[in-house]
Amino acid sequence: MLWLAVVLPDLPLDVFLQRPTPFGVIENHVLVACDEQARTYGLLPGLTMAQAYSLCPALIVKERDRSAEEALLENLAVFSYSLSSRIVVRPEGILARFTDKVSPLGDPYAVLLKVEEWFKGMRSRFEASMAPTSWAAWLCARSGLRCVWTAQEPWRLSMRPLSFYELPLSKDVKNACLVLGFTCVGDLLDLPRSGFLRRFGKDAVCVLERLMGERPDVEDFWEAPLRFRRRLIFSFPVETEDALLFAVNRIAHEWGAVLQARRARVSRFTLDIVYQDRSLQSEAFTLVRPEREAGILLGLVRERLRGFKPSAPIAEVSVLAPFEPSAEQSLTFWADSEWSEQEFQVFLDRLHARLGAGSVHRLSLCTDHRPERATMECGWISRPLDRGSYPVSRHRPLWLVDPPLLLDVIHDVPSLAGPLQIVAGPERLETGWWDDPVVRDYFVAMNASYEHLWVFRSSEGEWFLQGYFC
Amino acid sequence: MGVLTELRTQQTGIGELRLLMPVLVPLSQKARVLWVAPPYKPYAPALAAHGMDLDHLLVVRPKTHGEALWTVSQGLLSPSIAIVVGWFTGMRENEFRALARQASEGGRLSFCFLPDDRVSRPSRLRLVLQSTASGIRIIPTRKAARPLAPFVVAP
Repeated sequence: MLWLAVVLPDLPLDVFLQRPTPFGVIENHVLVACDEQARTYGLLPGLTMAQAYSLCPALIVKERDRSAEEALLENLAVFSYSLSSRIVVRPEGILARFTDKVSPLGDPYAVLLKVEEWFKGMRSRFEASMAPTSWAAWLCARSGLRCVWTAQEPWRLSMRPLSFYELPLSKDVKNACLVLGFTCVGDLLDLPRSGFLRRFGKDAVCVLERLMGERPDVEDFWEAPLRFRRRLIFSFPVETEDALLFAVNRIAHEWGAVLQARRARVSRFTLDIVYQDRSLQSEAFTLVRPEREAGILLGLVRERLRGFKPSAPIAEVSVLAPFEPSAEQSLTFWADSEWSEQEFQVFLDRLHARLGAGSVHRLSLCTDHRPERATMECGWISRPLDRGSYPVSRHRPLWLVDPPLLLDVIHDVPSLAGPLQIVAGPERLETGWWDDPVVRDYFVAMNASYEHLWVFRSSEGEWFLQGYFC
Repeated sequence: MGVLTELRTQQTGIGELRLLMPVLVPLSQKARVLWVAPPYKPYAPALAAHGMDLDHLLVVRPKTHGEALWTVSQGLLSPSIAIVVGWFTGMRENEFRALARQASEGGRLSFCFLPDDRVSRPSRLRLVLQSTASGIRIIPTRKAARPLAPFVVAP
């Protein structure tokens, strides 16, 4: 068994974008994390607000955001899912279990390289280690050692100098050990086990035994959810489109990695923009065809946000995307027609993102003799109507004027830019008695500038323009 | 092959769209046709009578002039669209030139209906459409080429 531990030591800081310096994160008025700049003032996690401000008056603090941290860890876990199916999520990082063969990659160093690759471009500090037990791996990573210990190597010896403070021992046990002058794991291991058991209880012994691989590791494994969720908080509110796109870009980077790792696609997602006054603007995106490429998804967001003027400073931005359940594989070699179909779906998505779904239409025929009801413009996504056998006729105009335009009648002759001359007709349409009765005599007419028009006379004797034979 | 043809007319209903039907109909059966901002409702029964495949006709109604230009240019560059027809109430010369450049890059056939205001210099191919008693009179104007005589197409 081999365990990979990935620890994010600065996780509370990582969820804040564009951090000012010196910067710290607080929870219950206690500092939980601070950046390098703040550390130079002597700040350390655990200080109270008053202590922190007295050491560093310029400190800028934010309240800790647990849910954003969880989301970030979840994405890390989803990524790790592509390496191993056994994942444990802890508050500061994740663990992944491998068999001795270090499944899909074959080499523990290849696993570490994958992890490094994932973090590239994310600006989060991380530590990753591998060791034969979960706590050994965790301890190495927490101590900032980027190392790989396999079971064949003297990994037990290397645990001895590490601090036991990161082990899940109770606070009383830790304090008692410190008082006794023990500082590292080796000191505890050297103690007679029976005395240690009597003094500190069974749980403490269990921890040591699990660390050294003398007792099996039992962990609650994590189950991957069928969605992507990510929230980014701006440390100071932004008002420009560029800053927003920068954040979305960063989300998309992770998003693409997650989609690749899960072999998943999304067919719809929402982008939520939370303003400083906590008002929410939600942009919903629907894709014609489920998509996996982060670049395409980012492109859609770009099109929608083009020329976007925030009404107020933006405090945070988040993306929620449920995965498509399809297990469809990516097509590498498309036939030409499939390729063009793919291109067309991308094209449609871009139109929808920029113009809104209400601007893109398809035409469909309807079985109705009333001309204005025989044609329908409906959204492209909606299913085309089941068309009946409408007698299509060449004696119909290509342009329909809907609603019909009332024509002036001068000396009993209808006119539009001059009196109309009847070319053909009448053709009587008498229909719609069930809801909107229509009795009309249709004519093809021509005006002085030789425009061919489709006009009708209603039963009341009024003349209307219904179409152009263009 | 990619050319943006300028069709200039002041009138509606002189058979200006029927001129394009011999190009649009065969293309619609194999590929997709994009119409941007048609001035009226395209009448599906008449289009079907001409043989147009309605499943391959995409009608986009942008809200602004800028969006309409963007849609045409997207259509010109997308490999999935075979032909683009756009209706505009006016276009600046640089806008037209940008579209024409994209048409030649994308290799698409495309047509632009514009009012006949006769201010700008002609593009590579401008057809001025006028109506006469016997059909449409087409006045072709080509940039840097021998002038062509006007001719009349019977409806």
